[in-house]
Amino acid sequence: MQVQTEAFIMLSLVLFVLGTIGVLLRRNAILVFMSIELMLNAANLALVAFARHWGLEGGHVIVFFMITVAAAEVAVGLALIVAIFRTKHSINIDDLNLLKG
Amino acid sequence: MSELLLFAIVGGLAVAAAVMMLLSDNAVHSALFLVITMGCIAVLFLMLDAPFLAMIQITVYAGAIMVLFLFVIMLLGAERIGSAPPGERGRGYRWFTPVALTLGLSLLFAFGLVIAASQLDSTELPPAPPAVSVVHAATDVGPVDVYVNGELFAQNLAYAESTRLQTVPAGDYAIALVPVGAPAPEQPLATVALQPNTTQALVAHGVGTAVTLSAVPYDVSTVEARTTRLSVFNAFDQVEAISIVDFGSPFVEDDTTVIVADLARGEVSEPILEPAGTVNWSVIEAGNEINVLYPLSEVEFRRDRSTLLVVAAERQFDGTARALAIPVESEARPAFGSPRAIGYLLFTDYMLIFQLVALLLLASMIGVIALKQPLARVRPRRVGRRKVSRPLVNVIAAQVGQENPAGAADDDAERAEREAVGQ
Repeated sequence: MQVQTEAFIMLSLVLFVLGTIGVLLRRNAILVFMSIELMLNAANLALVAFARHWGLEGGHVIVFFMITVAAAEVAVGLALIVAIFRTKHSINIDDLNLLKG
Repeated sequence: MSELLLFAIVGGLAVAAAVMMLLSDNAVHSALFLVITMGCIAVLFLMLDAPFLAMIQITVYAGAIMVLFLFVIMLLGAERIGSAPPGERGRGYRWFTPVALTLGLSLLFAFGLVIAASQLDSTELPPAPPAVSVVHAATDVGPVDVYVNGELFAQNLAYAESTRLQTVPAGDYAIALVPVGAPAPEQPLATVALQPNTTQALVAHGVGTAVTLSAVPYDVSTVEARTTRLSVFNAFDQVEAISIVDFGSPFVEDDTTVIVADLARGEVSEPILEPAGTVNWSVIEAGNEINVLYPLSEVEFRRDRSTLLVVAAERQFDGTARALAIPVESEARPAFGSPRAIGYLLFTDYMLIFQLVALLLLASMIGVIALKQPLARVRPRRVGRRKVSRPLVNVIAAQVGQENPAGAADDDAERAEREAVGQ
């Protein structure tokens, strides 16, 4: 017997909320980044679950694109973090208050 | 039941690893926990009939992206930077943790309610539109134009040719065949009803003016890897019925195998699943093994295809009619979630998005190169005495390397003059 689609959606929801809490609470910029990756993965899981539910492969293609874009985003984001670390010698996001005035 | 158990174990492991990622003090440990979560999600992809994405998830996410993360953590020595919770830093963010947790839990609660209330498993799939192909197998009829509901559907369809499989909305269609260039006819040849979720080949067969149109079901569903599907339609009017046999080896007596037995005119055989390649079969008159109508050894059956073999009569120069097997070939639907299926979609419906994503990747590559350059230094403001521009004469003097006595005298005269005016 196949596992119901609802179960997969619930699991993806739990992972997404965990990622949200990570983005809100962690102070290390790299960990915030990893939490965003977790949220993207949760969304991917929901897309694949719905793709199986409806029998349409469009969801798979979108997940394929999301993985590609996530790879690009990680490359740029980590380069930004390295650049920030070079100037401020910290990647604690509380120290990045340049726009605070 | 076992699948549910597997889901519970893998899902629980994914959630536990995600929680550990959030709680871990060391960034390297967090990254490794995230790898576990991503591996679990890859297993869930496999359970959801997405084997290609599962492999992509492991190679790209768990492989490339996480290696990048670990590399940056090691490069910056950032294992413990900023790991203290915000409340302990005494910056007035003490209220932040409970607020964030409340927000997260209310998000979980709200969406959980929505998912629980949705009757997802009782909803039905929208029906797929029917697909149709027109086959010209009418003897003594030249190239024709095909009109559907009074509109041109296919042009210049010659004998033994067929149109591409096309999807059309479900409904009743009036089909008419006219010689090439002739105006649309008043009376349609036949009216066919196309139901949703079906694939049909409309075979025009008969002789001369007595052409009939048969709607033949045409199965293009998924075939097993490296196999082909074959069904036979009999439109040959010279004999009562046809059979397809495999005569086997010429050196062995009585090893003839019957593949399709006694197919009367206008009938279609059950689909035969075969390994792809050529076969050593022959079309014969039913019950008369000596009368071989058409050898099938020249027809190649390609893998992952569905072939409808229309056996029709072809007029010879001497006026007699001989059998001809017309293969109507179409791709069988690729297996759900397979690389072929996704590649097919990528290169048809999603081509534009594919190119946009490729552009985005290029832009991000350039962005990373730009970020790698050292940031432009803001020149520190010089403190101390401000520079005042000197008179031109002094500049010249400094460059020449000597005082200009005449100039100096002029200066003195000017100063004396100014003082006089002032007084």
